[in-house]
Amino acid sequence: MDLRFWTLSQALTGNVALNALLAEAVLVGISRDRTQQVEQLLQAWAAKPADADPQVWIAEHLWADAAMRRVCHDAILSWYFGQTFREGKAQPTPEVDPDTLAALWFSGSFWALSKAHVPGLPGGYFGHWSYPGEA
Amino acid sequence: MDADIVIVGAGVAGALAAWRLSSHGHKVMLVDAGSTVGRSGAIGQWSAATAKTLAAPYRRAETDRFAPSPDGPSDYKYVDGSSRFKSTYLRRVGGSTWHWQGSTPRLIPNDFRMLSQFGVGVDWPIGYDELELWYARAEEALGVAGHHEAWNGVHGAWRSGPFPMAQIWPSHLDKLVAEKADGLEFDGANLRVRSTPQARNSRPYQGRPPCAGNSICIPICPIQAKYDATVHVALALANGAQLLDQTVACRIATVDGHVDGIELASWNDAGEVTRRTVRARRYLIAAHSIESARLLLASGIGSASVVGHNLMDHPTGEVVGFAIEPVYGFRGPPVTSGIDEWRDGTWRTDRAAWKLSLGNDGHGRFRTPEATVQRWMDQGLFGVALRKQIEEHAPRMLRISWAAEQLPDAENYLELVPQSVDALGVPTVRLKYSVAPYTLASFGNIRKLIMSIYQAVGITDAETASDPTVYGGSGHVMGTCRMGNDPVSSVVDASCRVYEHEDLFVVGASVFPTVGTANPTLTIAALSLRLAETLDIELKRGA
Repeated sequence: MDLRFWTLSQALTGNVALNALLAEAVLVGISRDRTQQVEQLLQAWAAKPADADPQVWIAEHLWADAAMRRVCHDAILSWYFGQTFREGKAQPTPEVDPDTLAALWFSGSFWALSKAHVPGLPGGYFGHWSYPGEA
Repeated sequence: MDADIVIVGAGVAGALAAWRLSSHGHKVMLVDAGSTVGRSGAIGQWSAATAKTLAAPYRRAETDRFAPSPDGPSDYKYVDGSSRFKSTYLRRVGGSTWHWQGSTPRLIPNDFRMLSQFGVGVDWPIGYDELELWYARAEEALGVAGHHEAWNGVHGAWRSGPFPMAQIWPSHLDKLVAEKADGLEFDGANLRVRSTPQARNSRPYQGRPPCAGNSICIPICPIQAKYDATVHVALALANGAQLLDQTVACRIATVDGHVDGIELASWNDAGEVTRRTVRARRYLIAAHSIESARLLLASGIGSASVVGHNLMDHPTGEVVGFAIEPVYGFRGPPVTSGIDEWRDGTWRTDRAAWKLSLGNDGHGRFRTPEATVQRWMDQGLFGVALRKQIEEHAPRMLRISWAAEQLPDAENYLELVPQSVDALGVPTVRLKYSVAPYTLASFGNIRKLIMSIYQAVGITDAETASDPTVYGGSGHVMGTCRMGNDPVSSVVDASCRVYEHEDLFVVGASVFPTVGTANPTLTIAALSLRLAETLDIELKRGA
């Protein structure tokens, strides 16, 4: 696992509880066809001053650069929706095995923030959708 | 003879007919172009698929080569100047019921008599009263959950008995919308939110479990709480029916008004193709609207000025917004309730009927959750701020969609493409399609009503397509082999028999003369069960 990508992902998603084992799959997915660009992004992140506020630093350094911003967007989408994104679209990632891709899908965090469960998993009991959202 | 009857297409129409006829002891051969789907494998494939499209669970290289299914409007060929046809179908054993939504409303009486009541379209050669018994039997066969009192008599659609099981529980958002908008007056009627009848178990039924809210009914129910036609394929096989999957019906051979066999091409996973002709006493084409018409056209059966014509859908649209309180979507079936007051009215002389669905799936097809998050990122949000935005807004996402009636139009058609064949040598087809002003004229009114509902529930930031003529597809591919009273304007008679071919029948949404606003599957099932009885009588008679 690339520690730089994992810590950057935590900052981009505001979520420290990301599954480190899946970070490699997300990185492979977003890197396809633009390895150099992604490496530049990770180097920039690694060079961030230790005392810099990550959110402020990202806004000033990564968001200001269109290409880096695009990669960051794809990383965020990948973590929220459990698929690998490039240029804003979910894209095939044959380098990653199907079981890992499935595990990635079921780790997508958008659904929990919506007070729902990941599509494909059951909601627990018949009629649960008739009541307020899931904790 | 290879069988008493050969049925082409193992979707809901073919599977039900195969089940009934095999129950009566007839020798049934059921043929399907696609593969037999293993549910767990399909779920695994869907889970790992990056693009979670309708066809994602079902993709197989060889099937896609020999029996390709369209996965979007761009997978069709078009006649120059055509608009896009936005609905698709699935060529697999079980057919499109693998990825259908599961909604099973009935047509209403006036849907069968559009010409005599409103002076538009055509009349069916049969009416609601004649079909009611078959609707009831279809609800029993599919296992429809519904609320009898809420539906009995709606727009004159009387019901002879209750649904086989209680309604699917309304979603939290259904209840909120009903609380705020029930009674709202619009265009001569008062709004009422009703639980949508659906072939989805609200209790164990036919050995299948109740819905557990996996929320991926489209494209596949992981536990088969939603009915699909493999239920009746399995029952037919248990009765002794023979299934030939991965077998495409290429041509119907005819001699002197009789069918002299159907030419089949079977393919295997090694890409090998074997061909043979099968013969039976009766032949039933139940291969979905596009494939049934394609087979008739490729066989030179029926008039090319009628076969393939009157292709229809239920053009759709959506209005989305954020409610002032959480509605908790993304859970349960995609639609549990709808609004049906405007499925009929004297105004059908000039504009289309329509029905509304309350979506439990965020902003639905209007804007995916990914696109919504992308918009927020484009506004500069990321990290903790983006997370907070999702947490505050995603549970408030609300969608109301409409499906509008489309009249039969001979200029909406499919035709064979000259000198173009597929991998098995069967002629390919191209489509000509547009949505007429009759349908589009209702879109403005529909939007007005939805905006009134949104006002009642406190939505002030509603969004819809900026172009008022934009339409989507309902996945309801209908028409092309319509039922009627004469061979000049129709392909099959009231019993679904192809004119001038005593032993050849077509059933499915292809035979619908008009489409009203009901999702078509229950009517397909009713027609198929009705036809199976006709065929049983004929076969027993020894004809």
